[in-house]
Amino acid sequence: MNDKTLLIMAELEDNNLKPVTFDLVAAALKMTGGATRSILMAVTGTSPDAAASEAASRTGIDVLAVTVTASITSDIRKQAAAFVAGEFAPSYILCPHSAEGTDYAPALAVRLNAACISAVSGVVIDVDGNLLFSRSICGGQFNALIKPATSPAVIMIQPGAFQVQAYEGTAGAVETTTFEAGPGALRMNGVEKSRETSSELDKAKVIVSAGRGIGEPGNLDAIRRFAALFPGSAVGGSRPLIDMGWLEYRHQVGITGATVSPSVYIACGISGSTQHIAGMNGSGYVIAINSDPNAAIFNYSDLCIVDDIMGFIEAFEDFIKNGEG
Amino acid sequence: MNILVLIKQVPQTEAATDISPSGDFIERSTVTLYKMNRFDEYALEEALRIKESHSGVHVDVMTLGPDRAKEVIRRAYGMGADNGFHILAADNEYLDPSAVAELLAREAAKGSYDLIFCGVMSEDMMQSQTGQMTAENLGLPCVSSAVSVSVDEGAKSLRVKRELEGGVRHDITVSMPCLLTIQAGINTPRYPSLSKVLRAADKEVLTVDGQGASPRQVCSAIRHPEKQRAGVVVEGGRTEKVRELYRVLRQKNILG
Ligand SMILES: Cc1cc2nc3c(=O)[nH]c(=O)nc-3n(C[C@H](O)[C@H](O)[C@H](O)COP(=O)(O)OP(=O)(O)OC[C@H]3O[C@@H](n4cnc5c(N)ncnc54)[C@H](O)[C@@H]3O)c2cc1C
Repeated sequence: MNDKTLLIMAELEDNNLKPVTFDLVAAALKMTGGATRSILMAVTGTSPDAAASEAASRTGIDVLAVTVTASITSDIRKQAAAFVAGEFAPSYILCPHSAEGTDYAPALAVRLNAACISAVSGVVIDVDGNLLFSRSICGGQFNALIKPATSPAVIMIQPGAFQVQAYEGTAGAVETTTFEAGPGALRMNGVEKSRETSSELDKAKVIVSAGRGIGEPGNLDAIRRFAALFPGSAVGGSRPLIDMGWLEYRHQVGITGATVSPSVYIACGISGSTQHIAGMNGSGYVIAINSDPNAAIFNYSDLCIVDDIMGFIEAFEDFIKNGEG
Repeated sequence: MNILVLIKQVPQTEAATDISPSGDFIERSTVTLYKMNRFDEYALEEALRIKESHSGVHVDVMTLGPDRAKEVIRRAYGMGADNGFHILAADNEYLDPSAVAELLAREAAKGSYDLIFCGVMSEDMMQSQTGQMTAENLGLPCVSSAVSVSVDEGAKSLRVKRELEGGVRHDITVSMPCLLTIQAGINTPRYPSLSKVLRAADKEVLTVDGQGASPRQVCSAIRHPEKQRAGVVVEGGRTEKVRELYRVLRQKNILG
């Protein structure tokens, strides 16, 4: 395992592989042009062997199972990742841009004097054959193409951004090692499962979601009336509305809220940041109403309506009331 | 106890930005309104609440940015911050998060801070890295995405809840000094008070030069994202838009 230039840091929960691990594999294959030889995956956990074998057979990639002799918090994870990177001196280290990944990967980069490119959703090869990494900026309005100036470089992959392909060839090799963790600075007291989520959003055929563009909490009445025009609908919201107390948590759509897939999703005054898109991109048909013609949400919409949201809803209600349809 | 809050100035809205003529960054000369990064407002508010509920707490703020970035320090004074530091950096240029964190750590090391807070990410560059990297540069433990913080002054530790995907929370104890990145929704940030703004009118903002950090990444180009769906834009006035939406919803058979 000495010819490895690309190191993937798998993500585990209770020693089981999390789906984001396969997103990292998809990104790695994009970088190598499909070759698995130069890729190594590190599966780090208190008891990682089963997950390591599973990863090797589901991807064909060689896997290093790293058993850590301490309960794993982000500072221990950072130590373990630095240990593996030190053994193999890869050019690229792929970590997930997940809650766990963002907790340790930037610090890992500092330890390794490495560049760290976060929330990467695309890989581009420039005219000179360099790898450039595309990341969303300005609330999703633009993509920046970033070139690392160091080796190694830590690349944090946006969950869901790369097309995961099923693999059916021979399994990769699995090796094992143990990492003696030093003292950690964090103590884990426990895990709280998700707060109350909504079966309403799960069941809804149509979701009308409100964002900061609605301007004030009083305007939620109009959003609710608008939603009521569609039988089997529910009201959702972007996170700031929940943060400001305008809507309860069970209405939140996005990476830290609910993941929804109604037949029709109507985004009202929502900019379309990656964290919101992650929760609604599986919807059947997406309609966005936003006053900014360049809002990122329009890149994820089937039907784009550039207008002031409250004025538009009022006009739509009048249209229905007057029976003009 | 001394708390430092890292704050950033960002455009009021991204609607006013565009790709720069050279194609390798964002053009901001068209942006007239700036504000404090929303996530940093939550971080500052959390620090001010600790100041108000414990005795002998000082809250300083630090920003890195062009000259105009000083405005967010003025706003922080209005909210109740004690001292402000400004690291002068170039405008209209992609800033490598490693370089930013190196400069922030260099200046932060000059104080003796028990706690450093910053927002979970900036609304414009969306890196989610600055806090974690600053902590590592300072050799401090770090917890990102905090949604609840309680201080145990006797034990010199914090009890923190950090948020993960789908609203799952980890309950963590971390010893001070340490750095936390603060997630939105943890509190309700206050507005600056007029009396504080007036009192801070001639209060100094110490500016230092942001030189000497070595960037580890460069921005080669800025692009408009590709459309992931049909993206049909409804043309015409409001009446046409209403009619078209009605037609589409009828066709999909979802109107009552
Ligand atoms: C770790 C992490 C997790 C997160 N999790 C989530 C999550 O689960 N869900 C989520 O939604 N966000 C989440 N966020 C926040 C996310 O990054 C964005 O800040 C948020 O989605 C923005 O919400 P918004 O689109 O409502 O507001 P903004 O980004 O402020 O957008 C408002 C939009 O309204 C438009 N507008 C303004 N006025 C009008 C008008 N009169 N008529 C029509 N349109 C108008 C504007 O053009 C703009 O596009 C998370 C962030 C972090 C860092």
